[in-house]
Amino acid sequence: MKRRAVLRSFLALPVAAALPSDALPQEVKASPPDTPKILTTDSDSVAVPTVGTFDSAQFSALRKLGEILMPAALDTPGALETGAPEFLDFLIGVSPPGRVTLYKTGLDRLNAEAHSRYNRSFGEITAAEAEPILAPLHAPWSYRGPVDPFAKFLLAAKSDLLTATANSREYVTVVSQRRRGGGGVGQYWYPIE
Amino acid sequence: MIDHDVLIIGSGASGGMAARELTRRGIKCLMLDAGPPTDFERDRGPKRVYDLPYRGFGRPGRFPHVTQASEFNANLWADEKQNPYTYDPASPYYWVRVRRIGGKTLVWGRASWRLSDFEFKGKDHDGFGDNWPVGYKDLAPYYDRVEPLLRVAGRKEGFPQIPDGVFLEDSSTGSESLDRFLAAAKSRNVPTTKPRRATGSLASSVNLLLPDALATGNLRIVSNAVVREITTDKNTGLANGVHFVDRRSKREFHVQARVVVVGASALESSRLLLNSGVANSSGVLGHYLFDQFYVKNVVTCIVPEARGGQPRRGLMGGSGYIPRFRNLDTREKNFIRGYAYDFGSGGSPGASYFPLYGEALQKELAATSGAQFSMTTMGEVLPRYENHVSIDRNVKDEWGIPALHIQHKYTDNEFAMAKDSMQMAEELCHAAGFEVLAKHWEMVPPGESIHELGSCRMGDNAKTSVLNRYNQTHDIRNLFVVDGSAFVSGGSQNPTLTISALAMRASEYLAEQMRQGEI
Repeated sequence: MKRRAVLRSFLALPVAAALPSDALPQEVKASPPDTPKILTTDSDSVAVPTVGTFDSAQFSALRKLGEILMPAALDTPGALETGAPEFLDFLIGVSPPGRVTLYKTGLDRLNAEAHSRYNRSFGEITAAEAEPILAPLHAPWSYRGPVDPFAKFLLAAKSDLLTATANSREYVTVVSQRRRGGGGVGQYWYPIE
Repeated sequence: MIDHDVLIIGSGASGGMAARELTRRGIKCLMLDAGPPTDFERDRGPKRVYDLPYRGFGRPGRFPHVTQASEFNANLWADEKQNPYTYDPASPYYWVRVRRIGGKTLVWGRASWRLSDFEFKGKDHDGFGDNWPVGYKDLAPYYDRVEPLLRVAGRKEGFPQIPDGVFLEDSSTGSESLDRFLAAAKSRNVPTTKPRRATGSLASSVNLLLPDALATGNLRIVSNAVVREITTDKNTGLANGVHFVDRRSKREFHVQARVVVVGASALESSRLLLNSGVANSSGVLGHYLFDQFYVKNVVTCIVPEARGGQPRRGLMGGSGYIPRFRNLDTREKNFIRGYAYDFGSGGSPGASYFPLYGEALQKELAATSGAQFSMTTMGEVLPRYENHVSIDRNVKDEWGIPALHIQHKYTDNEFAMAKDSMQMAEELCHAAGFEVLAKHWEMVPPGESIHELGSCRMGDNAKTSVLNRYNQTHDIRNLFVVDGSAFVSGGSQNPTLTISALAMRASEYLAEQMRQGEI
C-alpha cells in the first residue's frame, strides 16, 4: 500500500484518477466497415528521441540528477527508465529563454561543483558524493522559493523530473496494472475551430 | 430589420440569467457570444497523460497568466495571444477568460454565498468607500429564486454575514479530523459551516439558464460573435445596436437593437463600453476595479494519526468554510473588512513541500499520503479609484479591437489581512493537533482568483457611478450592464450568486420598464 500511496502523490492527477480505465476509447470492434478507426502508435514507443538542447556534459548531468532525485524502485520505474531526461531536453528546448538559461547554467554548475570537489563530472560521481552539491534541496519550503539561481534550478529540476517520470507511459502503465481505474487519465478538451 | 427586442452580449451567469428572465416575460432576445457552443460529447474526451504532446506539462509559455490551465483543459481557456492585454510589469494582473457559450460558468468553483449588509452597507460600518445603492433586503428575494435555479446545497446557520437561503439538503460527510478542527474553531469563536455549492454534474448557464430561455421560442443565440462596439443614435443618444466580428472569418456585421444588455464579464464589459465611448459622463467607467485576494494553501498540515500512508476509516475527509469573522462586532487594529477560509481534510501534500529527494522523499510521500489538511484564504479587496482599466490603443486583439490596460495593486489593508489569516489558520490547526507542514501569506496576483469585479459600478449619484440601482446606465436608458462590473464592493464571498441575483433583478426591472413603455 505504501508504494501505491507514493504513486498517487507523484501523479497528482485527481481528475484523472477518478476516471475508470475503461472510460478510454476502446479499440475497434463493431465500427462500420466504411468508417474504420485506424489504430496508430506514438513516437516514443518506436523511436529514440533526438536530444539537442543540452550539450553532452549538461545532458549527462541531467541524467545523473534524474537517477538521484527519482530513482527506480523495486516495482516502479525511475526517471531514467521513463526517459524523463530525454523528455526534459525537449521540453526545456521549447520553453521561454529564462527557463533554458536556468537549466543550462544549473547543469553547468553541477558539473563545475563536481569537478571542483572530485575532479569528475557530475555524471560520474555517486549519489553520496552528490549530497553536498544538492544541499539546497534540503532547505525548508517557501512560497516564493529561493533567490539563488542554482537552488531555483534544483527545485525546478526536482519537480520536472518527478512529473515527467510520473506522467510517462512506462510509469502510468505500471500504476494502472496495480490500481483499479489506473492513473494518468483526464478529460481532454479538443481545440475549437 | 429588427425582430428582437433586446440584444444581450454574453451568455454566462449574467447574460444567461438576463435571457432567461426576459424571454419568460415574452420579450424577444438576440444573444451574441464571442465563443462557440460546446458539444460535450464531441469537444472533450478521456486521454492518457502520456498521449499528450507535452506529457501533461502543457505547451511552455502558452498561458503565462492562467495558472488554472493544464494540458488537458488548455483549449477551454481564451487564448492569450489572440486576446492580449497589458499592465505595468511591476504590477502583473492575471486575466483569466473563457470564450465559449456559457462563459466561465463552464468551469466555476460553484461556491454560492450571499452578500450581506456588511458589504452592501460597508461604508456605514467602517467609513470606507461607498455603500451600494441597494441593500440586502432588495436582493434577498432574488437570492431566494436564484439558489433553487442553481441547485445550491448548504446548511442554514443564522450567520448574519452570510445570510441563509433556499438550500438543497447538504449530504456531504465529515470526519474525525474535520470534527477536531471544528471544535478548535468553536473554542475560539470562529464560525464554521459546510460548503454552499451549486450541485449537479454540470452547473452552468448552458444547462440551467439557456435551455429555459430557448424553450420560450424568444431567444436566438449567435455564436462566435466578437462585439467590437455599441452604436448609438446621433439624434437620441440611445443605443441602437452593435458592431461585431465573426470570430472565424473576421467578417464584420452590424445588428440593430432597441435595448442592449451587456453581460460579457466584468472587464470585457468595461472594455466594450470604453471602446464604444459611451456611458462615461462620470469619468468613473473603468475605475474601482477589485477582486478577492487568495492565499492558496495558507497552511498545509499533516494529521499526525493519519501518517503511515493508510489513514484509518473515518479519520480523514470532508470540507468546510469559515465565513468572515473579523470586524463584525469588533474592530481590528491593522485592517478593515475581513476574509474567509475554505478548508479540507484529505489528499496528499505535494513533493515540493518536503526538503528531500530520492528514496527519502518517496518514503515521506508514502507516509503522508491521504493525511493532508489544508486551508485557503479568500479576502476582501478594497475598491479604490486608482485601480482601473483603460484602453491601450497600441495593442489590438486578433479581431483588431483595442485591448485593455489593467492597473491593479493590493495595498496595506490586503497585506495585513493576509498575514492575519495565516496566523489565525496556524493557530486553529495547532489547536486541532495538526502538524503545520507549510504556511505563508503571499497572495496570488490580482485577477488569479477569477473574481474580478467593479469597473462599471452602480450608485445613486450619476457623477460617481456608471449604473443606477437597476444596472441601467445613467447616461443611456436603454443600455444595461448586468455582470460583476456593477459591484460596488465584493466582500470575501464568491460572487457568482450575487451576479446572478443582480442580473435577475435588473432583467425584471427592464421587462417592467418595457411593458410600461418607458424603454
